[in-house]
Amino acid sequence: MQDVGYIPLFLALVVSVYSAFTYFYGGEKGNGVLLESARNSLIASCVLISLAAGALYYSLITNDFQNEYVASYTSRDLSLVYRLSAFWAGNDGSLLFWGWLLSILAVIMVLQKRDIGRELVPYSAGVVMCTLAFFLIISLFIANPFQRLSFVPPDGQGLNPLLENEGMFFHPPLLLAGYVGFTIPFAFAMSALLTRRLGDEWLVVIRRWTLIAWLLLAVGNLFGAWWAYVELGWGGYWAWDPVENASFLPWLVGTAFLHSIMMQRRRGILKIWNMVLIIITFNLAILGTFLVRSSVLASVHTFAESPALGVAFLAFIGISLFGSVALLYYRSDELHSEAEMESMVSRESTFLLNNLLLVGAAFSILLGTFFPIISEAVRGVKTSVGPPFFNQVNGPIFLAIILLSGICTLIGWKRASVKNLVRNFLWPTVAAVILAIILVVLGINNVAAIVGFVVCAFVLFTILSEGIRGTIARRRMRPQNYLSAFAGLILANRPRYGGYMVHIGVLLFAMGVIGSSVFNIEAEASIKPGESMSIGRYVLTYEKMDNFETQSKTTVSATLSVSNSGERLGRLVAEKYFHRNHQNPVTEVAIKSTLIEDLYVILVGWDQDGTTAFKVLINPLVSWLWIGGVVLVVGALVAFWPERRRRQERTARDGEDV
Amino acid sequence: MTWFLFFLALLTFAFIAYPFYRKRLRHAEYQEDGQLVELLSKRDTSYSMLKELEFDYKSGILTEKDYKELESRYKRKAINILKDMDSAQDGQKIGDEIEEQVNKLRHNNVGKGSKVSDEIEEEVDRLRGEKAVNKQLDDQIEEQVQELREKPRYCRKCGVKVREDDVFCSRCGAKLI
Repeated sequence: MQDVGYIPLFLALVVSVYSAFTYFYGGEKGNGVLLESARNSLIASCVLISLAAGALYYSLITNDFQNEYVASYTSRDLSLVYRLSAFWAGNDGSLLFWGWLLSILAVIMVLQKRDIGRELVPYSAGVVMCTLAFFLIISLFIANPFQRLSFVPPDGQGLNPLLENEGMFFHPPLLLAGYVGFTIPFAFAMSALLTRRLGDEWLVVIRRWTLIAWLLLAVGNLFGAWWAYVELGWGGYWAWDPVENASFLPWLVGTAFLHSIMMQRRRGILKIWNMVLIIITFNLAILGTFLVRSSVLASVHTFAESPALGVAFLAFIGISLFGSVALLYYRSDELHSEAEMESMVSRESTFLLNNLLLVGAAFSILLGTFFPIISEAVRGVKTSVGPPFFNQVNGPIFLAIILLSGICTLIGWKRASVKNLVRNFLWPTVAAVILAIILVVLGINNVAAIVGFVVCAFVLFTILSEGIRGTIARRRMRPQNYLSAFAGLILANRPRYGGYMVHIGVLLFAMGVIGSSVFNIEAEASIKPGESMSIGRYVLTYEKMDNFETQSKTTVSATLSVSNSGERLGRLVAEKYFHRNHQNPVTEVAIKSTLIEDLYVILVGWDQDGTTAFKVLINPLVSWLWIGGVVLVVGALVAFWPERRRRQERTARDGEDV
Repeated sequence: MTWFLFFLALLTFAFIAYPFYRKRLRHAEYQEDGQLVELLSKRDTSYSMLKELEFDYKSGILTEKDYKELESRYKRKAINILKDMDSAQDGQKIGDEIEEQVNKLRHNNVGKGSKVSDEIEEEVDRLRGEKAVNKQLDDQIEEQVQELREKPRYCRKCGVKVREDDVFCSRCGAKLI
């Protein structure tokens, strides 16, 4: 199967280089024949890469252990679904996956029916094909997933046991898809610069592409957090690990970009800023891929070391960064703003401030992530900065971002009058103050947490009050009941209300973060069967320990019965897996989850005499992280859904075509 | 296997080279009036801004004074864009029409003195008629904004939803006011 994988991949490289060249040349000359040939080669490269991907899948399914990649990441006892997911378990496969996804997105991009932006397609397809060629070069010459061994091993080494979790099906591919997705907006931005079509056109074209890439990255990160929480067994969901940061960075700058393109569309301002943001986002996405796939920084995510890969990635980032910034510089004269900010208290200024905070947060995280390398270069000592740095710097920044997101929606364009400010902010402020008083009365004395909750609640109230006003306004405009007025309000303005739903999702998430990081408690105890330990209102009684042998692993499980304030809640089973092929045991935590708090039990170890060590945590409000995530996804999909008017136009035109 | 790969390479090459051998070109697909597209997207932006301003006003975020001022500003902007679109689309056509009319008048009234030039001026004014064009554009914007507002019309007798241009109700036949 080596040739069926490798040779199509090689052909795809040739074809994509031809496609990139022909797109640029044909676009320059306005030659339709060349452009059509370029398009055909783009489609051909997708088919060829799909063939190569199919060959790798075939090797994974058929246990073709002479393939080095298959032997390294699977074994005979691995179930089929995990064998398939091994496609992105290692370097070589995930980089091929990157290229494959990009080629599919490229095909969608060129075949999409467009009302506007058609002239931008040749150059943006050219940029995409250059990026694709880079990934194909890597797959062919540095990280080849079709490498053959000189012998046929009887069995493979198996998948890293940590990866044997449902998260494996979602977290890596979604994150990679998010990274890949940002290539398209970047390509259109470059195309706008190259063709000097620097108006709104490219922004209209890329809005939904950016949104979906952003959403994929968000969902990928959420799955990562959930996976870490249930599988890694240290009680948390986010550790400011370099690779986590790497996927958070393009998301933050992408968020800033999504908001600032609204400014350009509405007011014709921030044109250069938008270009800068998308250039940064794309390069951070490539950097993210690079950090996952090299071991420049120590992380739980890196599984192999390959210096050549690092050099190749740095070269690519250097070229793309230098090229795009130079292009932006040469076109900067044509990117002047059409209007000026008129007041410090206006929707524009709050948007801009929010943008700066998002980029500022991204910069601080970037600095913290690369601090080990910087400190090694400057002082010769590799010093890492830990979670306290990230939390202390970013906590206030994120709180300010959240606060501004609430203020922004209630401030009018251009300038806000005092009368309006008072009218719009009165009730949310009153509600937030009441909440603050309730929190103090309830005995919460952590100032940071109170401020955090109050800010989140204030913003939540502003969004709700805006929804209520909108519903009332809409009901005034036409006779209908409140429910259908509310539904109509959302449907008539999906981007706006989808955005608000995303904000609500972020708020719920933020409350989860505050609750679980400020009020979490933990306890450790070594107890024998029959003995109990207590944490908070919970009492855990250790019942028994069991051993199971399966073909691939030994499972040790400890059963505990749990009661809360004397009321029996049932049993929890905390486990440890000892895999035959891997040295480190895997901890399977037991979690009892409610909307208020999670009881999180880790089996730490045991003695011959039956004494068993447990670590138990109470993580308040963790469920709200996942609920917030779901709300965020729904909101983003509402905003992503095409608007009715455009769809109607399209169907009308399709009808004509027929 | 070798044959398969050889065949694959051949097929790829044929697919890529095909456009060079095809007789009918899809040249036009890649040629588009850039200026017009740009104006179209600007027009849409103004419309959505107008819609948003109205919404902000209705839900109390903007005061009436600010709303009126912003609305008229964005309407003016939209008018200018529509004018530019007209001149980009059929500027040439209008010019030709004016010339034609002028020539016709000149031809019909040779030697009839100043009255003719007055008439010509009048005619030209009428054709060039800024006001008329403005009015028309204003109406067009109103119509678009109206459409965006999605304010449906109902039959007063039976309450069924009717089209904007209907004279009689489609269900009960009552005359619509």
